[in-house]
Amino acid sequence: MSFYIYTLVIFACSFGIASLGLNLQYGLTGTLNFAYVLFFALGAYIGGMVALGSQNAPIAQSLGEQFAFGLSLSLPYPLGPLAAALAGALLAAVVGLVLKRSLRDDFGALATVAIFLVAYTLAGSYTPAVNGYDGIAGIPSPFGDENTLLYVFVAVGWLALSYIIAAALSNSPYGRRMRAIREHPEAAEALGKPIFRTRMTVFILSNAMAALAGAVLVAFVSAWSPLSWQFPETLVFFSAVIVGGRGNNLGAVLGAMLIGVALQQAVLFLPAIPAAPTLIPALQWVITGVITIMFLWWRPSGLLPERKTNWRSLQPWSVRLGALRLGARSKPQ
Amino acid sequence: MATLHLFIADLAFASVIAAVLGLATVAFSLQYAVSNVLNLALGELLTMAAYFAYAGSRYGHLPVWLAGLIAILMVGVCSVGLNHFLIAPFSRRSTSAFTPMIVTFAVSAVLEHLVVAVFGPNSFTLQLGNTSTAIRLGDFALSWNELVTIAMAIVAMVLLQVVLKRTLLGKAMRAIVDNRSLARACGIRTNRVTDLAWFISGCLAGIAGLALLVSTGTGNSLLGTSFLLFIIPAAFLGGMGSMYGAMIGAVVIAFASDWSSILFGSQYKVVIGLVLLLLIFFVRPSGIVAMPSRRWEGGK
Repeated sequence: MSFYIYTLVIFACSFGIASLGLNLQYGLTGTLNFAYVLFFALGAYIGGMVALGSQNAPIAQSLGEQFAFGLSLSLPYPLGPLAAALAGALLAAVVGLVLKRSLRDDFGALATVAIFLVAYTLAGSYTPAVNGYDGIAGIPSPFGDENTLLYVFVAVGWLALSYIIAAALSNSPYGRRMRAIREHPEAAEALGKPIFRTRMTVFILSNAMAALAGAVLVAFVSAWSPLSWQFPETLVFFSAVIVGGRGNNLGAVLGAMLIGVALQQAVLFLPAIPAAPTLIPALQWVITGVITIMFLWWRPSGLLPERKTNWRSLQPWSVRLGALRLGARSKPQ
Repeated sequence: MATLHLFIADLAFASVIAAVLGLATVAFSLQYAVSNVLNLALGELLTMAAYFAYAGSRYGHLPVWLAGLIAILMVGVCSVGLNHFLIAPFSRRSTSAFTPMIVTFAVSAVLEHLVVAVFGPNSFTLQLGNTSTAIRLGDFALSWNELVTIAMAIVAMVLLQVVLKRTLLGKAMRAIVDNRSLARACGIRTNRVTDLAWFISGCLAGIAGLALLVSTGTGNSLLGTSFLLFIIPAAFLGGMGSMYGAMIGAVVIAFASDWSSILFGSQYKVVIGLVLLLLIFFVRPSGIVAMPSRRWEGGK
């Protein structure tokens, strides 16, 4: 039972980090990236391969013969997620530089679909890279198998760190610049905001968060293969951001818990039909898609709508506190 | 020299793929031209055509050609429904092109898994009458199935050309592509004409799905989604919004991917399309559409 709860918490943390990242690029900056789960998957592969090593000698050896970077590194824990985030940032920089100005429009979004599909096909068919459709397995638990609870806390810590970064960014002047670019790129450009540089920076940061989320997940599930990151998988994160509330970090985390974890668990309570074992997982996707469309039509701002910035919230905290005290003292006589 | 023989032997297969890809790409760019929406659910329309034809012949005991015809019309109707009930309302409401595109993405996930929920995850085959060779010229051999596929594609293209050029409907469609609000002001029922354009493109996608099923032999729920991999570069190459461009793009991508798989191995079949696509982005970062020829070339 406790293992079941650990599983839920770690899935919630991983999906929460990824949804926070997607919220930064889609919800706040207005960049549409249908290859988002590619970065998640890259993080999972890198995180897994960095940790894979001598303590799992038989598995690592058998894998090492099959794929080129099946390194026997077996590096200590925090290096896996960090390497994953770095790899995600690098790939995002390459993709962003190739798409250039198209990062803002629907053609760039279509190109990300093509990039995802090609990367997926290659990961599956070119075995030396990541062992094809068999994937990698036997990734050791970071703190040993008996210390799962410790890892749960670490995962929550990664989520907290990501939330702090996302919240700090979206409440800063930089966050206002991101919103301005989302709402009206031409006006923002006319005011001298560097549109492409801002989009690129957010693109790199948020995709690094996706890679981090993948690494957080893979250290727990201990195996990763192309079946875990098919094309519709990106919809889960989009759905989480849309249901939770575009532009609201808390909403993104809430959406990840509802769509990524709660819906998946709720579907398991449906009566299983032995004759059709794939019916229930298929229904889960149908429900996710329908919920997304319904939210987009009836409640496009999501469960927790983005808060409107007012003048007071623009003031630094010191001024706001001071203004409160001043306001109390200097009431009109 | 041996490679040359392989090229010629593969010519038949490559031209079938070019025909299928041409149909799908024209459907994709027609939808974009009239609705300004990049339809990510197009792959699922292809898949559904294959499943409808399979269901018609397997469970409805219809002859294959009749099941295929019904499947094509049904996909056309589905395409109209997709536009009328989802894409058009969302496009009317939002100024950004992103929301309708996310809707098509959600629809593609729903349809893909709805097919799995109804028909199960297993792949299927459609039994076709004649698989013997029709034409043989040295290494070049064309089976009856391949011949029928190519013929279907050519007939569909010619029909589309006639509709666009010779009928009032085609004229109205071209007017909408040029300037939607002006067309409405001139008394064209833009919503109805857009629906009809989606019906035509749905039928094209249906034919493409059937042709794809015939050429690959087996189908499953990923039949169309995986084909999106070739549709997107072909549409980009052709310069979205031009019919001849779409056809040329399809031919280039089909032959390039086929020959690169002979030269470098089958994994690289998918890479060439992406390389061409990224090249376009590098040469013309604003996208092909920025070209002045952004018109649906049906005639003057």
